[in-house]
Amino acid sequence: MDNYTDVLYQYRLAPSASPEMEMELADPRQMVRGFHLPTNESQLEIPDYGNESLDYPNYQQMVGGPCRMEDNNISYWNLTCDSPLEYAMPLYGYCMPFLLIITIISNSLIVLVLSKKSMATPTNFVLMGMAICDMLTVIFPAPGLWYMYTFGNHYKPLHPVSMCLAYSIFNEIMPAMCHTISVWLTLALAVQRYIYVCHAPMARTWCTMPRVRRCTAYIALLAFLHQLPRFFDRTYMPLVIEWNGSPTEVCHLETSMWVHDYIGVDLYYTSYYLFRVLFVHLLPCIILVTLNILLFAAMRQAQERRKLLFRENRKKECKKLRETNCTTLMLIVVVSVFLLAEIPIAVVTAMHIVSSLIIEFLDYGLANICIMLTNFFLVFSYPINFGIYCGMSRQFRETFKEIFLGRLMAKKDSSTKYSIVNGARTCTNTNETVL
Amino acid sequence: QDRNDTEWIQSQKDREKWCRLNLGPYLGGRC
Repeated sequence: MDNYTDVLYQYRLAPSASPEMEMELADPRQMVRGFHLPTNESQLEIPDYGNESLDYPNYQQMVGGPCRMEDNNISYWNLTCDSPLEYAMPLYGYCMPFLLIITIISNSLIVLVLSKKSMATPTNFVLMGMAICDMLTVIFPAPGLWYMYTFGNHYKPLHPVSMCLAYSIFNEIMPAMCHTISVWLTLALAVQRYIYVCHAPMARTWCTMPRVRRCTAYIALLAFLHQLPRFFDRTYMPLVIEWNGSPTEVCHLETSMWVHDYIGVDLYYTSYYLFRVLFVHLLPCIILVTLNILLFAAMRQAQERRKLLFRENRKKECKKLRETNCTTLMLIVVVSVFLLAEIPIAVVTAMHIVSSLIIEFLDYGLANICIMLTNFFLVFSYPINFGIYCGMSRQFRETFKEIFLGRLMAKKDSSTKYSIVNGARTCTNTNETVL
Repeated sequence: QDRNDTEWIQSQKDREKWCRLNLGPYLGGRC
């Protein structure tokens, strides 16, 4: 097995490690003794890890550095070196379970309310799709995060191979796919709102229910195709090591043959990350900011009109415009929260491409912490949407009350029904075109 | 696959170079 090159994720102790773990890991040499590939039973040279423990400064040094061992070593997958534990444990292990529960409850309520017949509008359909995707984004990786970080099993090697594959699918590929769908739906929502507000006559043709359904299906398909190569871009090699005194089949990760032979690793990852930077982060952000500015300008214009109508004592039109402004403001808030999460990811991923391809400059310890905080903010922002809908959409509140508090209470303040983002439904035949 | 092949070794090294960034559990993880 000479010249066998790959990463070796070392077993070292994190600051959060329990005394039990400390006992288990007292002699790392013993732990990795008997490395062999099942195919030829070759014994591998055991790396000299020393007995140092993993405190945070050590970990910082390890990121992108000593966590990767080369020559005569063979790697296997565990989570200890995957993320900075000082942040991963509190964020993923302790805060995330609460956020998961809050997100599931709030997004289920959004789906429940928006799926009511009275709420069936093209805009609400997109909002419902976003709520489902956001919910799935946090549900898929939840069991893995609980096991690894909440229950502190990150130091154990992932095994067997089927578990590595499952972990990769549910903790890396599926959430990314759902998040991508959510991003593109947010974009679709903003475009739709822009058409309603700034090009109202076009809304009758472009913003119909069948078109929106078809568009949502295409978005889901495209997001699936974008993540499809990731199912096959690496191979999980079974590797038997001695773990806790018994032989354990762990996973050694390699680039898949087709990537190596037909595309090349650099080209493959450049294309993947570049696609994500451009089409999942950067372009959606630019388009959303542009549309937000246009919407904001339209909203200011409408406010001026409202003042004029108010002076002329035309109460009905005045009320209609107030609702429209409120819903446009709601979308601006939703999109702004989205931008706060997406922009750091776009910047760090772009820097990663340059750092991997052209010139080495990125501090990966810092970059991974930044991304981890962004992940946290992303999930934190999901329940905020529920607050925004409740706070800013009267129809959402009314339907919510109708479902959970009974019809009587809802009828108290329901002279007219309002679409969640499209103003008074009684004022227009299309339900959507307001201005 | 010949794992002693220098091209293959380089390819694995390249992979690790790309996999230094961990996008986190909600955005794609490590490659």
